[in-house]
Amino acid sequence: MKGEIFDIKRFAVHDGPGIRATAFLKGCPLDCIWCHNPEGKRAGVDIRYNPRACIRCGACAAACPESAICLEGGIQIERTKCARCGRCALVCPASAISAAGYEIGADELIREFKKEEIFFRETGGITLSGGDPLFQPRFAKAVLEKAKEAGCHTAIETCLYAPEDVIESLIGAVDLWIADIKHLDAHEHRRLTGVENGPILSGYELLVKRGCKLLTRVPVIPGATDSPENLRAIGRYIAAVNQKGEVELMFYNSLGESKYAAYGLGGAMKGETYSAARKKEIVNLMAGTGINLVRGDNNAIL
Amino acid sequence: MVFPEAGISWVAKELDSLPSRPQDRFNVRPEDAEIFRGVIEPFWKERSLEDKIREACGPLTDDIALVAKINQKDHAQGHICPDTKKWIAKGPAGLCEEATAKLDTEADPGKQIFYRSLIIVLEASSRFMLRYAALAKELSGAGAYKDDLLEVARICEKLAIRPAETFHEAMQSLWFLYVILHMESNASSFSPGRMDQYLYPYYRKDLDAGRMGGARALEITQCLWLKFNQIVYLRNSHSAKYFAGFPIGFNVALGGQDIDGGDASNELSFIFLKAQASLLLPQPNLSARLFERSDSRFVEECARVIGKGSGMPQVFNDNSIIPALMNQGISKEDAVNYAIVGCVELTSHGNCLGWSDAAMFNMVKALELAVNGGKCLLTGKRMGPDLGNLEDHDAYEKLEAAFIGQVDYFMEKMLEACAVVERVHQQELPSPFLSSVINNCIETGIDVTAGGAKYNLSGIQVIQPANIADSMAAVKHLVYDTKRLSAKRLLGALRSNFDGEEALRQTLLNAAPKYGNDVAWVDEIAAKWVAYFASRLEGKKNYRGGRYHTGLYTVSAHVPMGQNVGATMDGRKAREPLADGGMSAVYGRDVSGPTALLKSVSRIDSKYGSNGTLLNMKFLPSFFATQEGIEKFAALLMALVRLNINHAQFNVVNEEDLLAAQREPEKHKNITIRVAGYTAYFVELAKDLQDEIIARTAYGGV
Repeated sequence: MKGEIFDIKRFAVHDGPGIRATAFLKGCPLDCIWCHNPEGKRAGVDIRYNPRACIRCGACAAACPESAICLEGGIQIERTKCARCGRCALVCPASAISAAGYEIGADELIREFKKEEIFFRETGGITLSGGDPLFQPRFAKAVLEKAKEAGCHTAIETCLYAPEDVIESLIGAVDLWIADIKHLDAHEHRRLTGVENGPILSGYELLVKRGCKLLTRVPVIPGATDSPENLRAIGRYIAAVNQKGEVELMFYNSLGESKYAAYGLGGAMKGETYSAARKKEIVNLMAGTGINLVRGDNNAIL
Repeated sequence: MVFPEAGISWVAKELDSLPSRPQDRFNVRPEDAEIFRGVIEPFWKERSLEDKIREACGPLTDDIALVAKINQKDHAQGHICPDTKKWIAKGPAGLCEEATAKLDTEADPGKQIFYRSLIIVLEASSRFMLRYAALAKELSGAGAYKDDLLEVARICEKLAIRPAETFHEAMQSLWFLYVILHMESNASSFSPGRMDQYLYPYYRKDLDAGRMGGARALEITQCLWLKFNQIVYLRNSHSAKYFAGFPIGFNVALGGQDIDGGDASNELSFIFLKAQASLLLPQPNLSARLFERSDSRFVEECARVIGKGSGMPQVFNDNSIIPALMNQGISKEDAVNYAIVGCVELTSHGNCLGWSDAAMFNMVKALELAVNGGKCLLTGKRMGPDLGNLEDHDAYEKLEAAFIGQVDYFMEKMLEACAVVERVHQQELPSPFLSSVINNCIETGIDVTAGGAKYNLSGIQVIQPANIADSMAAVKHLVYDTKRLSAKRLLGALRSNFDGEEALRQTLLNAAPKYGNDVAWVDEIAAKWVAYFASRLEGKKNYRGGRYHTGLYTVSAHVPMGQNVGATMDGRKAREPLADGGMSAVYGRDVSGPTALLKSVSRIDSKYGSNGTLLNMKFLPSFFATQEGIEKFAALLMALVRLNINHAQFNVVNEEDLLAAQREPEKHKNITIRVAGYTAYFVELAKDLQDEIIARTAYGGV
């Protein structure tokens, strides 16, 4: 069983309890305007270029079968011509060009995870993230089941935009679901993410009904999800269907912006990060809706 | 204070530049400079330890200096953990009685002199305390601190003739010990060791008697912590580059285990941590001993204080250190009671002259000579035997054989020089006061420099496994295994310092895996050469009859030692710093996160770090902002214990802080940084060391 990933992060400390190892799976059914992992959105290889590391040796241009690279002021990759074959990354001596996205077998991924075993102990474990792991459901299932067999705590970070039977099939292999509720208005949801929220909410309710351990995350994005109406609606919804479940707020950060340029992808969102005072206001507003808001390390108010 | 008997040539040379030198500046009063030039210098010329060593060694130490740097040539060794417990329990008067009793029955004239010298310094110690008593009384006349000063006077008077009984008295007694040790010897790193253990009975007794509360104990501790920052050690400009930031090394070890394997942490361990968290000063050098069964509250408290950013406590691992010390012939009882001296050097408590900084052996320079036919890449000068160059080594094993040849050649010369240094120390710098607080000196009538201690070790530092692993992995992979590069071209590139060969240099940097990323075969290269070096030292005896063993730390010496090394096969340019610390990866090359780094480090057998190891890691402050973060950090510390890693220390800062401090030092005087085994004020460091700290990999996300 093979799948496609674009990174394995060791010492992952924001993806569930304890010290974890997280694999990022390629591909996502959503296209959120604030996505900070744009290299995870689509299947296949994405080519990253870091001009600061580039030594202008021209090896990439010589290796490109599509002649998509020219040496003008560093190098220019003509992204429309680029076939995303990754040969440039292979020949670059300075690792100024790198390729995100590669195939890996489920067993091999488990072997990579096992390198971190000594750090997991009782609290830690492995997490599948992305992209969205449900975009490659059979691979995700294989990895999660093998991890469970090996005695690992398993977590999955997903948008839950998947058929119910897919979600159902994973329930036995997942110890912790980490899922977003982004917007409660179906039209706004479509505008912001490219899809409607109906299947997401059904998936969410299914997990609650099955008694799954579920951490709900609410991305707080300036001008997108942060209107008091939407936040209040989300709070009321969670309070109604999953009152005791833990909820974390995920405040917008601008770390993703530079990635869009590096991958030659358009559409980077440029937002203002929140002040501590504004964060506090939003925390108070959400806490007022009666949900079980937790202060995880993702929403530390510094 | 100058100590002309140890060496003055550097003071004579540098006296005028002390106020303006790049690292560790010092002001000198004109009248003091005059006395130095007119009286001290003319008398001591040719009479000091330094002169005698030079006379005895000839050109030897200079000839081998770029590979084997011999230390303690112009100052005392220090780096010792005296028996503070005994000192507090007996006081100078009690010890004097002991020495007098021995003198009465001693027939050997040499030993009689030894005991007489002890009596002289111990009586002087009592008088020294009485001077403080008189001064405190004099000052108490008026003002708000009258009662405090009268209490100080009472304690000083008492300690001159009787042992301490209360916590306050014991702390005062301890401080007298360390002040006097620094007056006797021109040396750094006299370390109090396990204060939470031997002071606990005094603390408990006061508490039970209702004489003292926890707040008072904290206040007394804070006062002592301040005193620990008041003695600074003036080094010559070269040495200040190696050990930047006036480190003095009052190392205090907290927690750990008792002889039955139980957790030894107690209320005092927490009070000492609290004192550190409230002051965040560079001294004491606070160390936490952890092991499998450490109380999780203690581990979390350590994590919390580390998160405050003073780089302390640094963390030591009982699980790996106790067996490593026992492997060097130290009894189980003494090994369990180990302490740390100075930065990271390991010792048993109160009975060991570890001579832990005997020499630093630059393996990277030795490898350079193996690659370049015994000649220095920087100057072309012949330094070692001609065992062929990289082109001659047509198999990886041949390169390894040449490397062995160079290491062996310099090791032999290094041991010769070390013996001379120790011999001259015995003749020129006997240390009777120190001998009075090191077991078994009084028992045997032998001065500590002459081998009177129960344990006599000498430590050699192996520099630097990360650069050796990265260089050997690159040449193995690119030249010998895949043959992507010819030996000829690589050697040419090294000789020209990669002039016109940037693509080749980048290939060396990027196409071969690096130490610090949990790549077993690369890490095992580091492990193999450390093991080789240690095995060659096995069975060798130092001048006091004790063993040589190895340490894996450089403190900040990786910068000047790097300046002695030409371009290396890992893509490092000539004169650039080596990897920092000792166990650390070359900075910027450990790109797989802290857990992968720890896995790599754990592949170097901890028993070869019995003289001490050093691993630097850096975390951002946001990591410690929540209880969840603290717990994760504590989990990482316990994983380090399971991985048998002897030591790690943690910087907690962000890049912006440091850049701002560089731009406007006067506004950021408070930022303390762990340079290596100790904490210094960032703005007091030289620019290149500042740059290097900024460049070190930051973990933990944002």
